[in-house]
Amino acid sequence: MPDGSVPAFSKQTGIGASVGRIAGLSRRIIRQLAADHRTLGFVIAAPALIMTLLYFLTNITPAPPVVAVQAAAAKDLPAAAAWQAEVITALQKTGRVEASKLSPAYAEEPAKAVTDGQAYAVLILPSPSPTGSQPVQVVVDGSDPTANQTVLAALSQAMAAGQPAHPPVSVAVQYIHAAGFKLMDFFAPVFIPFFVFFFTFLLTVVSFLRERTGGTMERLFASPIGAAEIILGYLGGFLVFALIESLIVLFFTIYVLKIHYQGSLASIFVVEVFLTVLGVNLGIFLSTYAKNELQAVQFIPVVIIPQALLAETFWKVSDMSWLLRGLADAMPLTYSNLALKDIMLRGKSLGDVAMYLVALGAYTLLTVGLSAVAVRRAR
Amino acid sequence: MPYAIEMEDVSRHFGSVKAVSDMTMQVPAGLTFGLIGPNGSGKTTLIRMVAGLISPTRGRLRVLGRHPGERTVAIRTGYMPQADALYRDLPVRENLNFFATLYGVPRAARKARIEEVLALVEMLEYANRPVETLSGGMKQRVPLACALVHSPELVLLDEPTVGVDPELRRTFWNYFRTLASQGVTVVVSTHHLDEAGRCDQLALMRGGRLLAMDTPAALLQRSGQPDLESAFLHFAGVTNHA
Repeated sequence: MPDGSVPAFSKQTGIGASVGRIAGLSRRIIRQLAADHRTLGFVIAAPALIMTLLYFLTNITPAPPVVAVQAAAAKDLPAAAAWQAEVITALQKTGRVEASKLSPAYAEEPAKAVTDGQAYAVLILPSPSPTGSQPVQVVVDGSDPTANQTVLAALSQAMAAGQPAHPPVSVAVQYIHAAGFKLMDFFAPVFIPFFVFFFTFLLTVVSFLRERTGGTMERLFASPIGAAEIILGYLGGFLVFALIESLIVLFFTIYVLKIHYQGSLASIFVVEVFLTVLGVNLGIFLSTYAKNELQAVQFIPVVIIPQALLAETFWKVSDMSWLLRGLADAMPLTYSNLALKDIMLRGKSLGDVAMYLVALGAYTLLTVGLSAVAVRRAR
Repeated sequence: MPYAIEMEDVSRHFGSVKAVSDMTMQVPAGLTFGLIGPNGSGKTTLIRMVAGLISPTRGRLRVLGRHPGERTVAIRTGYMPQADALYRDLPVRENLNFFATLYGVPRAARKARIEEVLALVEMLEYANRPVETLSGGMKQRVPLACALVHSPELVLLDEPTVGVDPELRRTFWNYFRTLASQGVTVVVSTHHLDEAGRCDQLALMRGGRLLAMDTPAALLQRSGQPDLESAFLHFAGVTNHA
């Protein structure tokens, strides 16, 4: 260009044009988000909600484990009773446990106080002997790793404080529910239902949404298929998926992470089936309240995370304040977690956890009803 | 059966919007029937009522002699909505298989029937491709195949030729004529007046109302116009003055 005139296409190239395109795109995205009031509200409200929950949850202190102290054999009555009182005082002084005398009802069978849930651990003091070789027997429930540590720490602290009047004692610990549960073992029973519930829920929400937005839902309604059949069809598909999913999680936790578990696989699957039906139907119901995938994903912090935090997952519902406890009691996952903990950690049967299953079943029926209404309304 | 669809004073309102008003007409069985009108003239609402997806606000509607939306009617009807309405992540054959299953095509006959409709829309060689990998023209043949896979007596096609190139459009119309010759009632909505002439009978619609219904030749004669576009405007004008 000898005359130095600028070619018309120069505006299409170079940094300025690039910045312009980027800014244009950014603007468009901001506009789209701004027009979506719900997404906007979500961006503000969801973090606030979760942080509020965490604030309350981190303030929870677990109730001190109850330790019952059984005196030595009756023939040494005065001395034994004095020692029992001393040990209780020493344990109380640690401030870590709730120490008391073992109820006479359990005198014959001290371990039964633990299985009945009267105490987390029972200390059985031996008859004082000149050699001092007899150990203090400790029977620990063992299913709660935090409580295990607390009890043993309190015990050694109390022993270290010393009762010089008595010969030094060794301690023999016996766990009722399998020795040495790790923290991970404790969480395994809640991982399995969580994943099953989370994925069936999320996948249902999104696939149902796609069905609606992609026009195939309308196509279904024009076909001979009915609302109930649609729900059942979805259930059938996701049930297979959920069973495969729980198998994978279960085998992974048992064989790869080598997580300890008791109870039967069949019982675990029964709970999974409840959760799948719950997840699918809740997904169908809530998918009608999402216009697009972005809105569908917003159900995660609303439906999934509060249940992940509150439903007997990391913190025990029984330790919570009335407000959190009320919230937890209203969440279906609480009941599946309680049931699976009993089944997997304590080897209980479905009959033992029937109350939890009834609660879970009630929620499942509720969501079936809601999804039926939702499908009919989508029509 | 003389009529595939009968309607008497059928109206459908959405809130204050009168999508279809007081339509009375009969669609004879076994021919190609065109619903002709501009966008927003009520064609889709009418087809959705016939498909049983929505009920009329007022009036009497009979499809294949029964109440639309009844399961027995749904089984004998094929419906192709305006949107693709396909499972894009699934191959063409899987889509057809799904709809064949939905409409209860017996397992023994299913495979052969799927091959048949694939051949009809000339999609045999792409049958195993996921829908989302197909080009636009190819993709448009799939919903038609899905609507036909269960050999329905009545086919409702909502703007099947929108965005279809002229060559494929001609092929489509040839399918429709073939179907009608086999006794199938083919209801096609379109706003292309140039293809309306291929129908056995036409219903001209505007603003949710029926302007006229007749064979293309009779419509030209009645209006005294040389082509259907002028005829449409003629009937629209007549109604406006009436």
